Amino acid sequence: MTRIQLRVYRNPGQAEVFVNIKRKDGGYYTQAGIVDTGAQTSLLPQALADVLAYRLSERASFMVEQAGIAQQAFQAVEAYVSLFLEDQTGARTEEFEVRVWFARARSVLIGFDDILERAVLHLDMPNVTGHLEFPG
Amino acid sequence: MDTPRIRMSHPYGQTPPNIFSDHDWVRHHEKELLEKYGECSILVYNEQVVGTGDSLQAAIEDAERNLPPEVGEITPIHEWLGYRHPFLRALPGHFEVPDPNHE
Repeated sequence: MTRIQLRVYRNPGQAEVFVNIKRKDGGYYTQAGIVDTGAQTSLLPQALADVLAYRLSERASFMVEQAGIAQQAFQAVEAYVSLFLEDQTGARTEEFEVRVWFARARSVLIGFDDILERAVLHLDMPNVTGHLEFPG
Repeated sequence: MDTPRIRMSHPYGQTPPNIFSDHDWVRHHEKELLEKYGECSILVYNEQVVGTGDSLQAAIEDAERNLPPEVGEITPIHEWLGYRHPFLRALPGHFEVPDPNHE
């Protein structure tokens, strides 16, 4: 089992996890992603497509109509990237492939597909801690 | 994305240690940073803002341009500074709520 510590904050409340996404040059780009239990698919800012290694899914580019409660449409490009999660203690997962959507977004959102669905999520807001457990 | 002195990538298992502490620093100073820089992309290295811009690339170019000559390679973090909208998921539009004291 691999336990990845979350970064948990109050006011505004947010739980984040560090993701290292494989780049075209073979290195990794590190960014804190917001753990979003309202997101089925993880979201990456489209600007990162310039540097990240990815392969397009068969679906490729499409419009997401009436997305979320806000019911607004946005363009997404569905792709697969390789990444691993890491925390400040040095714990890290194996690298694995994740289906993501590139979109006009500012933040990295971590959703269920291929990431949260693999893990047990612990979130302790009174103590401002949390972690993701990935069964070994 | 990288420039001669701004490195935004690393090999597997060699995540620069400042990544974690700088991220916490941004989160804990978000309000002051927003007041000073407004909504923008921001690069932070060792708890110092080294570049800002309206995109990640613009922030990197700003940092490369403004770093003192004696500074060598650095591994900053990138964050988007933005005001939080706690009710972002609510539908736009107007509606009435009955006054519970006049029912």
